[in-house]
Amino acid sequence: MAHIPSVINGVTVEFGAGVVNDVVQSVVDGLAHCIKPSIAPGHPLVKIFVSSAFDSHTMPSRHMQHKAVDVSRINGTKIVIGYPNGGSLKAIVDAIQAAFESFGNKRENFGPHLKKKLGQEHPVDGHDDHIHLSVN
Amino acid sequence: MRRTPCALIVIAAAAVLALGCRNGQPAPAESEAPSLTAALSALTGTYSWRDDLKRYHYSAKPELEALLAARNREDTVAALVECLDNTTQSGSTLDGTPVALGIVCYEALTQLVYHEPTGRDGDVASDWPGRLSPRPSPAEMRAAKEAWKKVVATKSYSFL
Repeated sequence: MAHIPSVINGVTVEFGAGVVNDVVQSVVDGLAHCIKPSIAPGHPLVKIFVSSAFDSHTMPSRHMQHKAVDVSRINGTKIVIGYPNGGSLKAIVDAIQAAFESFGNKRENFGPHLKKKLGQEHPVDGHDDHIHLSVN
Repeated sequence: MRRTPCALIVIAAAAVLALGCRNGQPAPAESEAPSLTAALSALTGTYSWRDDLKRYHYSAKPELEALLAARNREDTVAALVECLDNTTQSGSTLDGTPVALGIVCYEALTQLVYHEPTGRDGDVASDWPGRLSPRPSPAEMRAAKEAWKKVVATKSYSFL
């Protein structure tokens, strides 16, 4: 099983207290595809906070299949607090979600900006507070 | 300095919280709920529709964050879930009229944790009774509480 590294493309990755960091390699590859310091030009991405990986969900969730990751903070600020204010946090969240759409093995891409599954619009409640990314 | 009644209530709630701490540790669960709900009831936030977000937005989220940061997280989750069906009027409003205290508790709960319901295919389910709009029916509030109680029982939530 692969692990999400503590640094991705120079961006620091922090983990919540209960996060079990066991994922398939494709999740790591998907993060490497969209977690970059300059993902949103003019708005440096320094740090993300992983709130869930292989934990806090029940089968058959993709999390419990090691195929999903949630990110709930950007540069130390909760998405649920900062996103409605616009600015850098919104720009970065929007850019991460947009970038993940070009990842070949993408499945779900749910967050404040996009709600897509397999590249198609997919209405789903919630996800104003974190980005949920999963792979096939 | 002249203080408003709401400000006095917030100060009183903070004092109750401070007295509830021992040796710098958060108060135990049984004393968490009364002071927390009093503080939440005293908040004077407003809900307004945001076209850009496609949902209602609560104005007092920074104040909520300050309240949540001072407390034991697990005890706070349990107390907030217990409050979800509370129909008592709060100091927060939508369109000029008070929203139920349970809605402010829901706002606090979903600023602290989230739950992702799962469909049979393993993907995130499209809807879930644990979600509430700012003006729900009492039945919807009860259903949300029951849904969240199951989430707490299975520890299937994540801290934001």
